[in-house]
Amino acid sequence: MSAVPPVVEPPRAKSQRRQIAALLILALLLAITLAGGIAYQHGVLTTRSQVYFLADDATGLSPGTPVRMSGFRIGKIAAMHLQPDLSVKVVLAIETEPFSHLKTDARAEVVREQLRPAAIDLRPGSAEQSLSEDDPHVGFRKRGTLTEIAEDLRTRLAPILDDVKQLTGTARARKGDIDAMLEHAHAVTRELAGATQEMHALTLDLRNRVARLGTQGESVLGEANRSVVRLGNLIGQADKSLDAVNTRLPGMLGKADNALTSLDAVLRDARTISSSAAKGVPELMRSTAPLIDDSRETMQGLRESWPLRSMLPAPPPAALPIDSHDPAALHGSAPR
Amino acid sequence: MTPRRCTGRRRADARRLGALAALCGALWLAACGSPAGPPQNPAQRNASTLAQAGARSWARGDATQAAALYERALSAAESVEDFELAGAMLLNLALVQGAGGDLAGAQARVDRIVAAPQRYGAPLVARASARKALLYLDAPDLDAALDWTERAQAACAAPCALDATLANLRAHVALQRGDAPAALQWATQGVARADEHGAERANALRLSGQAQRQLGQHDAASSAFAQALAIDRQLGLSERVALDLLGAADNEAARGAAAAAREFYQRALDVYSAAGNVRAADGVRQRLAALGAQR
Repeated sequence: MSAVPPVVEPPRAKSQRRQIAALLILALLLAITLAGGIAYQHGVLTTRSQVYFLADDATGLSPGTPVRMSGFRIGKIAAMHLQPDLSVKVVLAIETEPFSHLKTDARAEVVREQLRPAAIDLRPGSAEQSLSEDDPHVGFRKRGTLTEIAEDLRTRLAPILDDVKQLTGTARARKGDIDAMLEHAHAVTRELAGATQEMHALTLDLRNRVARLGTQGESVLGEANRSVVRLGNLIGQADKSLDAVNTRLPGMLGKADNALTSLDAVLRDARTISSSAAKGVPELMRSTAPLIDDSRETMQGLRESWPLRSMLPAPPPAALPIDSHDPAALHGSAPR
Repeated sequence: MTPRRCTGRRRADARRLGALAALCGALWLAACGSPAGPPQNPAQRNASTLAQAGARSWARGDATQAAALYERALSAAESVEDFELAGAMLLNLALVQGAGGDLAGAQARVDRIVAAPQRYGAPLVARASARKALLYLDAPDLDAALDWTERAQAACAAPCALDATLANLRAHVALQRGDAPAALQWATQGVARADEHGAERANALRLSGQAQRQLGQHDAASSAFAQALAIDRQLGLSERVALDLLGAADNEAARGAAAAAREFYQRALDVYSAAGNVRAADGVRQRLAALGAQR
């Protein structure tokens, strides 16, 4: 057997093989870098935690919807599961570091702005306890769109506007009353201002009076003190006087007893006289009027009888004469 | 005793009996001859007594008591429909109230008479009209006074007892209007129509003297004032005596007899002072002072 001589490759071929190998390696490196970048972009290289919330419906939500916290993207919707009660469990995959900020009252809000895709805004909450890693359930609130907000506003404002319209109409119809009320209120305000001024003046006056009373009270108290001293002296004198009275009183009482006995006898006599007079005086008084009438008749008869009639002066006429000098205008000094 | 002597004694006894019978007869006739008023019922007698008491009160200057008594007399008279006495009381009350300055009240009293002439009669209506005229002098409303003077004259049947009063009233109105000749004419009529010694004659003479003084007839005026003074002194009318003296003084002053004027003024002052009329006395003092200043 014969030996096959080695094939000698030309130098150009070797160079081309090296260049191809280098290109393949470079391509592989680029592919690996691209794959790493994509994986990084998809969070393959980052550590993730999961939280979830339950929503009535998942309108506008889909896996991959971004999750933000304080405006920064921290994750996305990882999965959505329909629950037996037709609610939707939405699982969020977020970075581990933001998860540590979540509290037990953390909540997720769906934000839908008109021209931007929906996003979930994660609010960390303010409770003291951190969110449990075993059951990372956060609350959910669905923030309305502008249309929903407008509808809500319309629903709320419509009755208010109706009431305002009705009130305006009523106010217009009762403008006169309102004007009168305003006028009265104005007058009352003025009176209140006047009353306030009067109260102020009264307060000042009272303050002055109280001050004066205080001064007078001090002087009165001083006078009272002096009076008490004088009273003490008088009590001492009265004590002496009472001693004197005690010694003289028995004799005086004996005399007074005698005097009262005499007075009693006098009163008995007076009562007897009064009772007699009570019977006699009315009779006397009653008989006086006829007596006067009789006397008048007698005097009249005597006056009209002859010869007294001619002796007595004629009685004045019943009618006074009409005299041209009667006017008071003529009673003063004579006209000159 | 002889029969002749016995016959003489019988004749003497018969003469004595005859004289005694004549004396009794004369006394009976005198007693029956005195005028007796118409019989009055108790209410009328009461009213008359009250009216007389009122007149006495008025005479002594107690107007309040006089008014009260006249009111009671009016009530008594009206209780028995004695219109004559009631009318007299209304006139008296008008006089008292008018003198007290209550002219409206006085007019109201008189108007009751004027408004019911069939009830009170023409004489009372004439007196009421005259009273109204006098009240209008105090108003003063001279036209109304003259109007009611004419009504009084029309209602007063002749012979009218108010003739002199009404003439004096016209004379006073004429004097007030400065018409001395007319005043003298009416006052002269008043003198002629008044009683010879009555107060109305003195009033007429006083008015006449005032008119004559204004006409420059000082002697006639002096005579008129003197006659008025004599009458008023006789009647005891103190105030009018003073007025007569004042008139005489003014007359003397007007003709330049200052001493005589002062004498009359002083007499008037004495009369006013004695009567207690302080206000009038002060007026006379002013006249005396003015007279002294003219000297």
